[in-house]
Amino acid sequence: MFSQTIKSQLIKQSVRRYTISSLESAGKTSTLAVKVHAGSRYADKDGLAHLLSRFNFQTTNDKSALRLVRESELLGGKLESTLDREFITLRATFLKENLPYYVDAIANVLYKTSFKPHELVESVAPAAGYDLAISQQNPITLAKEALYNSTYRTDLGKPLLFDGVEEITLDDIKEYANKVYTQENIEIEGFGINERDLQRLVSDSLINTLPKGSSLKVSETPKSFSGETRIRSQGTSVAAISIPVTKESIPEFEVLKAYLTSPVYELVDVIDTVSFEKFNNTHGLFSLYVKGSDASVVAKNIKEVVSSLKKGKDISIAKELAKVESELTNEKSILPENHEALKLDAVKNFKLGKFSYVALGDVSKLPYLDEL
Amino acid sequence: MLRTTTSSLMTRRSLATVAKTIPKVEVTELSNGITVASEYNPNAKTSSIGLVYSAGSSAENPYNNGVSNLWTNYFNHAGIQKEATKEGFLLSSNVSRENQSFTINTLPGNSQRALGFLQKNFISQLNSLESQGTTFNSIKQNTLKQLVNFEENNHKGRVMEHLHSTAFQNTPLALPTRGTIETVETLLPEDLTSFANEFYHSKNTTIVATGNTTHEELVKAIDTELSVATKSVSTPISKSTFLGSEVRLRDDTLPKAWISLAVEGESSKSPDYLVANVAANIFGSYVANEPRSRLQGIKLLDSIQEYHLCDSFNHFSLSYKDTGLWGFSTEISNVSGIDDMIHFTLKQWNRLSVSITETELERGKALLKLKLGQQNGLRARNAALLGTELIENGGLYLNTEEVFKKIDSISIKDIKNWAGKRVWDQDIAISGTGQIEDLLDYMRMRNDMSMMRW
Amino acid sequence: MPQSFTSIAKVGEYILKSPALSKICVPVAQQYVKFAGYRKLGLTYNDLIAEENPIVQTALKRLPEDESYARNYRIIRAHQSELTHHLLPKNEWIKAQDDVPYLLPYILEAEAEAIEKAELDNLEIVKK
Repeated sequence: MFSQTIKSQLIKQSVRRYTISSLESAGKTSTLAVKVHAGSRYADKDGLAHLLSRFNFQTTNDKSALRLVRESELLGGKLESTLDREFITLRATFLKENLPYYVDAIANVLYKTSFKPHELVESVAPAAGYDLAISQQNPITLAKEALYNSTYRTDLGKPLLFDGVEEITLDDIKEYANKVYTQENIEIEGFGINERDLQRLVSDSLINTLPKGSSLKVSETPKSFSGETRIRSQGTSVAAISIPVTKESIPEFEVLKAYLTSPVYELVDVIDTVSFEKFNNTHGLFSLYVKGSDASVVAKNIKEVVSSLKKGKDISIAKELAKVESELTNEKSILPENHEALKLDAVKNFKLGKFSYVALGDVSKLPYLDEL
Repeated sequence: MLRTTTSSLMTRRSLATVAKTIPKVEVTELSNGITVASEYNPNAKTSSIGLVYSAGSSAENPYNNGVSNLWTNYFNHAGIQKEATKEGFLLSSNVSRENQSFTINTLPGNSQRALGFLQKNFISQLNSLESQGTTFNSIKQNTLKQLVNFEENNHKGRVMEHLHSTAFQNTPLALPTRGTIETVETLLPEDLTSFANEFYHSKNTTIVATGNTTHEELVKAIDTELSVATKSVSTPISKSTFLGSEVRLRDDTLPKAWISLAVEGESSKSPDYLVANVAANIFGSYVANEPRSRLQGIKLLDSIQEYHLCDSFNHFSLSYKDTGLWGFSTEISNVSGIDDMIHFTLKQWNRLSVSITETELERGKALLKLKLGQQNGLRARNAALLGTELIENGGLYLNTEEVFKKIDSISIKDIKNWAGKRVWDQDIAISGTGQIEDLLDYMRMRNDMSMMRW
Repeated sequence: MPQSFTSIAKVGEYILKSPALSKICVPVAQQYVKFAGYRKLGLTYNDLIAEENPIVQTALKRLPEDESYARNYRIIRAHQSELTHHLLPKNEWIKAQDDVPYLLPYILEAEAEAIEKAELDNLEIVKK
């Protein structure tokens, strides 16, 4: 009664220039994600990537935004476009049998979005403003934004969201779309989709006629700095540090993250959030946040954490946990680069060296970088 | 159902029939009463293994309300977490109204160790809490901190808790899942122990595994590692019943209004379970700030958008053992339009019994299918979901294929019949917090549940 | 059913395409413009379209800023002329080549959207 066969295989294949990876499963729903190397780090103007991401699934030459939503909901599907520093991701989740419709829908967005002026004013800009308002309510997100900026300055250091500081016109957005939506710059991921079906449908779709361009993907570690940012604001105080990570030390920081979030680390209760974001599996940023309503307590806590990490720690105890955590995150993406096994054997001691620092909130009570 | 005996120790009730190659969901009942369930996926890179008890906050009483929540916090306390890190286990626990779960995420092939870990650090500790005074106090402090945070920040959740409290007043489902600050403060280690003795026995236990763990591996590991207390008679939980009523927590210092409103819904095993869910999805959910959400084909949106009557709404169909709730929650910043918001929504509910269209029905069905399909995909990472499905719905909705067929067969007539019975001119439960001065009195809203003519 | 802008625009196009019809209609239209006299008050034909409905409101909202200012200026100037019972000096009359349908494209787009929405709201599912 409950049994279903599960036939699942991981297939990686390059068709033309864009990459298609697909994982088949016995479930009844599928997810199709087109990842474009067009995140904020690639944007020529601050916030451009955000606006383009919000323009996805608006009216195209073939179909109005309204018709797309109405048709899609009758077929049982959901569309979204998300943004991070590396990717703009166009994602469709839908009932398995409707794959052709959604390949077409996404292809249409990449190829033929109309970029109507009134949509920018009536729909795109307010939605972008809402995203910004939400992110500014969260002190951790604000601190992270500042850490990226002081660590990398440009590239990964560019702001993620559109904040209106730099003026962006509709033509800027169109131009950026032409630059990033090219065959070389996209990667296609399918979950619960037969890879041959996907390949056939993609090669018959407009994705196959996307203009040729060049891959923008950055694989080398960007130049990093050790900086300090102080932001006065009301409410919660946050003190945070970040460390840029190179490819060789990715395993070490995976383990460090597991270590710092487990009670095996004596100061675990003091740390609010530990984050490790990787880019193209070749570099990343590790960050650690201490938060509280009383800035003097936050000051004391961040000093303790930093001095304990500077002394050096044997973190090898968290290796196994790091393996589980990284497998669980890897399941969410099947891009080939995420499938290198994590080499944790060499990980033993961690000693904090240079880092960037952010103080946010009641900064008069928070320490300076050179006091840590 | 097919019964075969595989060994003298256990009776197996195998539910896998169609394909022999890779059984997907397998359920076995052991002779001591434990249910063992697994969903094996050989391609998964991790396994999730856990323990689900079919007793949650509704098994508590007004005096020990919160014990389940304390137990789930016990599972996460520093001592156990430290052990788990060394083993490479990721722990999680959850309590809901009718069950609670304790699960471990781990790499494949560790089921024996994981169950051993559960036995050593949790099951065998159930009676020794009284000797761990400091641990108990730190867990209690943590729980209280979470409760304060919930009360101060999660207004939507708070309103839902109160909706249950008023709708099922004086019956088990009324108790808050997390307990309240007042009850948790009074709890002693003895309360937890006696709750465990009463409800954490083999008949209430389901051992679950999903991801890369075979059923055989799991059953074998249970045999060697686990010893769960047996009890001949389960403590009965009295029946919960719905009562139309309201509770208002007006607080004009909050920036918005949060309101939930519901009629009595379907119980988990009711034949109309899917009909109620389709009906909820016809009205679906809405977020004013998401452009695509504004374009949805929900007729209610035309009335709402012109005057920005709400920031978001979400229709739900919640089902429990004896009864359920069918209704919606909304968040409103335009607080002088609350009466309009409620009025237009209830007028739309009327249409369920009168003039719902084929297109709206198809839309509701498609969205429900998508939701169920996605949920079924989440189980590989979280075995507790398999346990709750089995405990609450008896596994009725595990086979997506069959469920989809059932959903497809729902007709307008089914919806109208169901709505005529459950929604049209029925009593409602209302709960609200924030600036709810404009929330009309009970009878005004109750009158909107039917129409004089149409 | 009241005439939609879309249907009116369609009829206009049809007439202009057919040489015979346009031979009759165009002079009539020119006489109409002359006797209506709106150009003498400094208005263009699109300024006369009744704006008290959601479709024209949407179109007006989407009008580029400079055109919107120009429109408002023309309307205020026309009001002032009416009030003082004067026509504008001849050199300020709107010339035929300046009487362009600046608003019509926006109206047509808004109307198309409204028609599409109505159609989708009343969609009927055909089961195969």
